[in-house]
Amino acid sequence: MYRCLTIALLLTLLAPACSRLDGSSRWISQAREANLEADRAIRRGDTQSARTALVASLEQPVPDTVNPADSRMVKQDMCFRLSLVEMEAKRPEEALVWAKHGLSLGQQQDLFTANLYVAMGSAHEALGQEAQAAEAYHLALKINETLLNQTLENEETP
Amino acid sequence: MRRILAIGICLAFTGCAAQKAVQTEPAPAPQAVPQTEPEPAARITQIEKDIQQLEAELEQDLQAAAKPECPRACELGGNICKLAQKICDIASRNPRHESLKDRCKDARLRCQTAHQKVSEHCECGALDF
Repeated sequence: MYRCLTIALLLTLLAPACSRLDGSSRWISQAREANLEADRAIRRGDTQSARTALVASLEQPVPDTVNPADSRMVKQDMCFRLSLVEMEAKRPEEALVWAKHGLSLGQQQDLFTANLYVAMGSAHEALGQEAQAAEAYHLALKINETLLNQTLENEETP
Repeated sequence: MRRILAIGICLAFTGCAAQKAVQTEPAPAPQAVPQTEPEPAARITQIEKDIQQLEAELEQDLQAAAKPECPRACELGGNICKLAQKICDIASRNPRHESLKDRCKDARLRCQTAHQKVSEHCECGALDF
């Protein structure tokens, strides 16, 4: 009897925790699905559908249970992809907006930030803003350099 | 890390020792003769051999783990040089822009340094740099 009550109590306590986890996995799943949908759309040359899928995913509220660093990376990757989509659609102004938006979410010494700087550089270059393009490429280069040094240091100290 | 490895050795050692104990058990005799454990000295020698073998395996694993992450290093080095090339292309299109020239010089130097560092550890394909 007491055992049954204990199990019932445990389930009652675990249910909210599980639903919180479900929220995180739902958010991650929809982000993954949006990326796949964008891939499919890009393959058939449908940049509009790719844009729609990525923007819809980006606008989804992030559950509290998702680590802020993880959500930043997921969102930055989407912004990077949106910037590429806009470049593909010959819309460098929009590409620049997405690159800047991605960078506004936070900058770290990682490939997500570096990719956004590369996207920013490409957009500036397409707009004929060569000095800004070179500056953005240089920032991306320095992040890659930091990551390379970290990679080689890790190898030397197992 | 060391603790995990030590535990791993102990577990592996226990498993091997148990296996050896089974293997060294004498076959059942036709007559009712009491079974005997291997001599303590022989057992110790066997355990020492097992330890040596495990140490050698551990050393191999550590060496494998210490090998460079070459694909990643090559990719990052490649990125650096591709970005340097982009910067220098922009500089060459704007020869009167002094700061772009300096940026190109700096970027090219970073590419060379990256190339040198990666080459010390890895053999990258021609496409990476």
